[in-house]
Amino acid sequence: MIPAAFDYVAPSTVREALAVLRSSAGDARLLAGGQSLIPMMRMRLVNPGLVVDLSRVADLAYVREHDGGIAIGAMTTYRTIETSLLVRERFPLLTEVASQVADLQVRNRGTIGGALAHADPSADLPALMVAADARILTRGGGRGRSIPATRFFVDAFTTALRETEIITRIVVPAPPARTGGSYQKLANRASHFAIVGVAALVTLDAAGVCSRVRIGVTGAGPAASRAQAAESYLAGRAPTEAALEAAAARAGDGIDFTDDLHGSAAYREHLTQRLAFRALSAAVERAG
Amino acid sequence: MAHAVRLTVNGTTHAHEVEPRLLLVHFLRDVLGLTGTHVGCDTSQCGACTVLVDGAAVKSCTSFAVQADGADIRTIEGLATGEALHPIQQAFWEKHGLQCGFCTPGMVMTLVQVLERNPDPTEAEVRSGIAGNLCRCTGYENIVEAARHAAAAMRAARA
Amino acid sequence: MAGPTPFRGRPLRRFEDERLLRGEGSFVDDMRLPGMLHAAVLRSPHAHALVRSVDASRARAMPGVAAVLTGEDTAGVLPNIAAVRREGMGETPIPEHPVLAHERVCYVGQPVAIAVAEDRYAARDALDLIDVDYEPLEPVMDPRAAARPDAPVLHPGSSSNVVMRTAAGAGDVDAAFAAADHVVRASFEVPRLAAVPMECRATLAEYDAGSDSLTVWTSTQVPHRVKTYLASLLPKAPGHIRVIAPDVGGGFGRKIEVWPEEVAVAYLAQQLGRPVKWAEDRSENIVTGQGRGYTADVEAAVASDGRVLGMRFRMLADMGAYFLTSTGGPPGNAVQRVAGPYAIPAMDVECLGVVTNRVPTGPYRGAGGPEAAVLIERTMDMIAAEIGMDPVELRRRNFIPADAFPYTTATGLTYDSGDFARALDRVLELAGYAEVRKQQRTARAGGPLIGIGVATIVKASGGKANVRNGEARVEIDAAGHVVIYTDVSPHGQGIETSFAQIAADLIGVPPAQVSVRHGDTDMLATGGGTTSSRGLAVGGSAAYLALEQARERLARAAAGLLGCAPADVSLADGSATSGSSSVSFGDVTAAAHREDGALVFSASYTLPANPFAFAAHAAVVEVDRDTGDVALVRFAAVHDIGRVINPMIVRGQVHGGITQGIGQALSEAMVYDAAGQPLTGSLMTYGIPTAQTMPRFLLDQLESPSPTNPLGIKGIGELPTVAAPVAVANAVMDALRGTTTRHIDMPLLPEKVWRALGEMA
Ligand SMILES: Cc1cc2nc3c(=O)[nH]c(=O)nc-3n(C[C@H](O)[C@H](O)[C@H](O)COP(=O)(O)OP(=O)(O)OC[C@H]3O[C@@H](n4cnc5c(N)ncnc54)[C@H](O)[C@@H]3O)c2cc1C
Ligand code: FES
Ligand code: FES
Repeated sequence: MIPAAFDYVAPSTVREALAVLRSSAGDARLLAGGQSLIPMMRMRLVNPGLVVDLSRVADLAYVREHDGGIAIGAMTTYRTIETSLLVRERFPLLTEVASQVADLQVRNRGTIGGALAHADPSADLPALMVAADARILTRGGGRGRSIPATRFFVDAFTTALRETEIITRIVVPAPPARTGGSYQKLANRASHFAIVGVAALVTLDAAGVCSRVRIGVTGAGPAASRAQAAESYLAGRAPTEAALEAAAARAGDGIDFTDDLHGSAAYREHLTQRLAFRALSAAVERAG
Repeated sequence: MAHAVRLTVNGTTHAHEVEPRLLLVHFLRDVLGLTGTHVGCDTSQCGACTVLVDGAAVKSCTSFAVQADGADIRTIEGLATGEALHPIQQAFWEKHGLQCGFCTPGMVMTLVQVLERNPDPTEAEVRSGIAGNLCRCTGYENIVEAARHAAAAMRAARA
Repeated sequence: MAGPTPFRGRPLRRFEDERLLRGEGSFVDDMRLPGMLHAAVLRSPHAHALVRSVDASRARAMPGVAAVLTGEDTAGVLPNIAAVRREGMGETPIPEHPVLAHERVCYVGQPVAIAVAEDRYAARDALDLIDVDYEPLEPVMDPRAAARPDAPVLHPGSSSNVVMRTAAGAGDVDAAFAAADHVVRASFEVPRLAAVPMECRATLAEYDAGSDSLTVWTSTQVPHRVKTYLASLLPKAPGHIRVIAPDVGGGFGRKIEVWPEEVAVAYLAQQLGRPVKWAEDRSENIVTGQGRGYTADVEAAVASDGRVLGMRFRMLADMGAYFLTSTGGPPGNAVQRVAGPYAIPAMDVECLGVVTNRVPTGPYRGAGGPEAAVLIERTMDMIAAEIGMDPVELRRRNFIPADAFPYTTATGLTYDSGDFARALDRVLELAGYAEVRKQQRTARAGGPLIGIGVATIVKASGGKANVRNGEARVEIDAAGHVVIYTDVSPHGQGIETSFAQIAADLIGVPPAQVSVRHGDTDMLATGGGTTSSRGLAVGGSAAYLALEQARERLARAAAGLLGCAPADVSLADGSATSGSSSVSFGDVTAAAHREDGALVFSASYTLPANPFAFAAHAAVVEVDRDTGDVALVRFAAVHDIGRVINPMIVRGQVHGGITQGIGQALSEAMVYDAAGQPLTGSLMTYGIPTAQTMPRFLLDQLESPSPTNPLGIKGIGELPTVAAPVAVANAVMDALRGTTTRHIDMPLLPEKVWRALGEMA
């Protein structure tokens, strides 16, 4: 399959890229790793008149220490994240999730900025981003924004981004001490995307009680979201099997479950609960 | 609308004017005539089109030629040294890692990267390394065998 | 004195490989001819619609576009592609596929127009400029509903959607049911599958007006069939047509066809006087290249000791909207193959071929076999469950005994040889059957559910009718180079190597000195190609006969040089020997050449009867209680395929065949919505196995040489794909034996299994 014709620019600064976006009146698309955009263009589902390649923009690909947590440039590939020692040290669950996405070739190219902007309802990273209280930093008209991941994913393939806004960095705060994390996914047998994926982060206090619980769910509904009912149930309780089960039973609360070829709404609801239980159990174990 | 690209493929530098939408795989196949790199799908799933761009295995159907401006590309045609096959090619031959041979160039190029990153992979590591390469003929077992055999040969050669 | 070690049975490295490994293969889309144009096909987005108008004027005016061909242009010019007549195609008119749709489209993906331009990008762009006005009609999608007498009829002028009826059977089935202690009934659906050869279809055609000759390079398994059809379909038949299958990237049955696109491309090359190439996309390949698609009701009459007394099968095959050349083939195979390896005295089998608004089906690896295996082998397991007997024991009690061959089944197949019980025993040993059964009894509560399943199947090789005729020619030059021309048209089966091994054993030529040429209609007058696992049994036997003639001639020449009788000459390992004296193979061929001028030996061979290969597979699975996900933890397989020429190649065929079978079991299915839209039309949604999900295989083989052909071959190509799916399904259902669910249709996707888990007994 062959994309429709378009024009191409490869600006070298974010400012230049923004200028191009503004002047092309909605007909432009940013190109990062191209691992979602190019397939869509080949199918002619997306036919931009102008493609703005971010790969020549300086200083968008990095993993850096930031306030004890990490800051990741939008153009950083899964591969870089997967192999970053800083990520492994500060947030090992991100290493784990990044290494489970797609395949070696796609991870060599696909970027965190592209993955989040694409907002595929079955993508893996968004589950972790919402659970981790990550913030998505952008630049656009005027001042930049810092959007909490929980408010970033609006609907399937729809984010809080404006047409003339560029993600520049993702900030992931380091989890508190004694936090364990786990990501549990049931992959589709064709696309290998998540039918449902659940990321859990559990912090235990000195008494072994869950002091902080974060659960992010992907695949279940139109957009990745936090399972707040489950989180608040578990917070303040000891992580007994019964408590984890009761929390997991609430993991689907508030989700408008997707019903499609890959899974009925009832199945997705069930998976959300079961995978939440597994993720919470493993997270508690790791918080140890 | 044509854009100038200049890139190195298997050690030879090429300069061409291309349409921005020209996929890297079509640039290699139709413009340069390097038809060893194949196209097996239209959704970036099969990996038949895998080449190394600046050392990284990428699906050349999921990349525009213009993005590769200035890049150093290696394709299956550039893998052997004259008569001598690359150890991975040799191992595919010995372990019967190919049947129709259509997936083979992409499979081999991906494995070049897998073994570069991990000179002694387990069976599971090889299998996950080629998760983005589909083969409909071999059932993968001999490909995995070939990869591990090649890894051993390459380690021995370095020792 | 021990004779020389034969080349037969050695795992010789393949001669085909080096080129392919270097990226120097030549697949159709790799070819480029001067002045070549590129074609792209506009396909119907509707399952069923009237085509009110097709306006290609904007596309024709586009720069770079050489031509646009529509159904209006081809109506009355290009005839429909005639279906091959087969048993069971009675008086009902068989709907034939038009090259391009005219006035009506009958499935999503049906070719409507074809654009030809200077490059593939322009050809694709031109499609967006063709304006088609469709009036959607109600599609016929459900084969069961479509088969009812009062159902709306898909093709106007036809009296019924049932266009074909095949049947098999013998014995008193009613009496069997009257005498039965148990009657087991079940209904099945075997979904449509896409063959997904990694190389999609591709065709390049070149017409030379001066010599009035047309050359077509196409990714096919049957070049001779394509040639025959082109000769009859092209309105101005060229004086000479040559069809070449260059390197072909897999076929699996769906390249046993004459496709509308092949005809259109050849026609355009002739019309335009320039070479035209078409290479399809994967999404086109998935929506057009499908097989299987059956529903069935099965009844078994069983005695209390487990003997199956009689069976009834009522099958419906979803043929699609038209019959292409091979569409009618698989049902005839299926009705006979449901007999399996069992001595079932009374059977009554019927299969109705029903038209629906889907793409025509055709053979896909196994061609009737895997569908039959699902029906009989799932039913055997249900019988076992019903009477409380181990499924392995039930099989043993019903096997045709090893001393009963040749054995004719109630469905009319005559099996040549075999030892089913021995193969089954061996596979149980490999799979650790007894241990798994023990593990099941002691499994921890809450852990994964463990299941083990077996399947035992029989598969004919060599096909039917003229597919059983093979041709070969052997040419030997003075220096001793041997060229074997064969009508087999391979795409990964390693024929170039196994034929060289056969030649080495027969005439003593070093295998590296043998070239095997194939896939070109200019080489031999007729040819069955590569279908029906016929490669070695038919094509190999023809080559064997030609080589025997060569041997006789070379022995005579060698006798002259050695001063002995031809009967005393042994040809082996590059020389001719008699007693202690010997001459080189090259000396012998040079001498024969001096005498004869040329050494050419031709042979045709007709396989007198089909050899039957046997497979016993065993799968061990773990079912995740939470998600319904199935993990394949072990897969063992034993095949009896007669004599083996190259065991390495055989193992490769087995690995690939099992893997395709596992795909059928666990993930693959063409799903259509009620409007006839395919929901699994790309590799994003149609899941074929990856390296990550496949286990390592535990294999063994038996060799019961087939008496049907001189090589003792039984054929391996399709066998593993027949047995594997149902072995996995039986394993999953074994894991679910604590539930009230008796059966789940494939593919066994996690959600279906989870639903069954919810019905714990
Ligand atoms: C074969 C295959 C398998 C896959 N499997 C998985 C999987 O298992 N799990 C999973 O989660 N994902 C999977 N993916 C998807 C992949 O993770 C993402 O598509 C990819 O990483 C997106 O990043 P990219 O850099 O390639 O973005 P691109 O494709 O370049 O862009 C995607 C979108 O984001 C926009 N965009 C890009 N960068 C920015 C920016 N900085 N600011 C604003 N907008 C921007 C683009 O305009 C475009 O709309 C798979 C993809 C493929 C091809
Ligand atoms: S052709 Fe590139 S992934 Fe299939
Ligand atoms: S060898 Fe044929 S697809 Fe891999």
